Amino acid sequence: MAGKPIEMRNKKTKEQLENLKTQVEETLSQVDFVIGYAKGYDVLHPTPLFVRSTKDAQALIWDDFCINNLATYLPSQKRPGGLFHPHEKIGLVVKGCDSRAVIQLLQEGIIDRENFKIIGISCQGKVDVKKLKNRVPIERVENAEIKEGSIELTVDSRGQKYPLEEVLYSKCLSCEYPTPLIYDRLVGGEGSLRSKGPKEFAQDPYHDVEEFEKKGVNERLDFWEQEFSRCLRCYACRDICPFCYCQFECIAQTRIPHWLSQKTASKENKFFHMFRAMHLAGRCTECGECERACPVDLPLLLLHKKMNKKVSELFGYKSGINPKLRPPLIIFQPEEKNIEEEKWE
Amino acid sequence: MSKVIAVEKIDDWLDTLNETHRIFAPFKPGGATRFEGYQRGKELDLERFAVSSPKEAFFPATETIFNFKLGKENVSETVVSLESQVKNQNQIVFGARCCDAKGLATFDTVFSGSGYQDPYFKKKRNTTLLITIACHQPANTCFCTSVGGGPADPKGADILLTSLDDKYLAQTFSTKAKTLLAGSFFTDATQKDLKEAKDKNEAARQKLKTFSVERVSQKLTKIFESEYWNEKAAKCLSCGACTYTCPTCYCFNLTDEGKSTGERVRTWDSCMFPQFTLEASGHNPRPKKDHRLRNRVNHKFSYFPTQHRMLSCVGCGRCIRHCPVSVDIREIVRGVQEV
Repeated sequence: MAGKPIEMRNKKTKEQLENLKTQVEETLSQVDFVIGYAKGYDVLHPTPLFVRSTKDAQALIWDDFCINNLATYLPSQKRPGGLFHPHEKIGLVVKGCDSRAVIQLLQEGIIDRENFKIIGISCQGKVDVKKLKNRVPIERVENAEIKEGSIELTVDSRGQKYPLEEVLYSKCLSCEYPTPLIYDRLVGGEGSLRSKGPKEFAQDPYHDVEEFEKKGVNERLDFWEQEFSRCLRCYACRDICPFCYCQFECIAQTRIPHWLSQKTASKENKFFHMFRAMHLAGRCTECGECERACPVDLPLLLLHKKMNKKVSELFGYKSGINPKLRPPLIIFQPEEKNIEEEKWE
Repeated sequence: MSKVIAVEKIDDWLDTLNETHRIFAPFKPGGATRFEGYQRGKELDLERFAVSSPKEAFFPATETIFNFKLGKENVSETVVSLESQVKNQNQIVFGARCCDAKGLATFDTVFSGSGYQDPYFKKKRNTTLLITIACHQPANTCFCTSVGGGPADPKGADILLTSLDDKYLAQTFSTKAKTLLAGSFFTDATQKDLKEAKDKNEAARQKLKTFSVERVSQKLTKIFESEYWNEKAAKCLSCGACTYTCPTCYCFNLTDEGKSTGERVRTWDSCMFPQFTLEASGHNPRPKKDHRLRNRVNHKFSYFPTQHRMLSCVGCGRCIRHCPVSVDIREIVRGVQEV
């Protein structure tokens, strides 16, 4: 990637932040609070910010690390024991990928459109801190900047440099929706940024699934058993997921019926992740937050992408695109076009 | 006793120890560094911070308490087998940080203090030696010096290792530990080694930002009903990443797994889960996430100090590092003083 687009990238990001602050301040008159991003404990970890006043809005940030899918807070409104009062109206900053989660939640009837305002923000891809973690001790990173197609990190007062395409989220490398699909206000509208996202690095979104499918069944099983043996069952993957809104009714922890053993051996952990994958089939919008939240780095998105790929093949459906459509696994049709039951043996 | 061992001899030393002990050490399988059983050839990682704490060596994520077999027709035919499930094996936790070792003091207080004596914990605790390693490159989430510890604090350790370029200084802090330093791997430490270690450890201490937790305990009891908790918990997801990686969190669940034959297991539980306080009646005394976050902070900085005269936070920073939304307990504790 040449130097120029990156200079543009940084300039746009700064302009977007000023615009974002204005949009958030204006939205405050219509809602009780707006959820955006603030500086976290270091440069790599922005943290969700709940803006209730114009003073709060000054703490807003927008940079190459603002990855959290803030749509995950929307279902809280209706959850028993959720933080927000049911009558409170919410404003939400969403990226293109996050907007799919909003749409999916609307499709599922979990949130009411009149209860929230969306401030969409066009995105040029975010840096994957887990990819950085394999390269540098991220717990000692002092500064990080994107320059000339690279990320420049300062660790222990020394500079380190990596090409941007090596450290952007994989989902960003195959991003189809850099601009949100649903919004009330838009920051950095179409045309003001590259309209197609970081296409320079474009990948087929399911290339990793296809690669994995080539392995034999035993090899795949061994892989997952190995991976799931690390699982702590902290449920960070579930609790950060916008679509895991069952809370204490989640069958992972219910006592009556006692569906799932509380033991944390690979077999039981696998069962948890498998049923979660089944529940998310065709619903998951592939934001990857489960994978980001996992303290032991389980490759969970691979599992959920596989399920989505299957749903796409069978029903020609992609989650979280059109609020008017109904996801195939929550509707019933006497006959499905691509499932030929009469041929089953 | 102070000895030195060359860096390249560490594996041989561990091999020797492995003949008589079960060793837990930080390994790096598939990215995340975590404490696992020792095996020569696995990639030992003494530089990066392990995701989970070594509490697993004393308080496994899953532990069988006893086995049972239900009578088919008649309850009187039910057999409960109560034989000890704890293996009688000497253990070594190798490469823990000083904060991890300090965290065990919380476990000692709860499971083998003046009150209840937990045989499952005690048996493992009494047969385990801790070999810690001084931190010279603290993480930006570390705050051990703020909660009474330090990057080279030997409290709770049997042996403290300090890295000195191509060798480690090994200092013993218990009688049992001395036997581990026998053999050809070690030579006596010189005054120069001791001085160098002291300087390095002091330099590490200087790298840490220290804040005061004085009077936090009293203040916490005063702001129980404050809106502060609502603000601070707004972003919390109620997952267990903080508590499961914490070296002092000791809460557990008990479930009977299996039907006609099965086992009663003890598994980790988290006060951040809504189910943690859910009562059989359906009532939940901590139904909201701000109640739960408030409890976690109070437990570490107020309830535990009140009951046991010690903080139950050692400043390892894991709850900050592994929180998917970067909830920062330092920020919360500092903020408490300003409410």
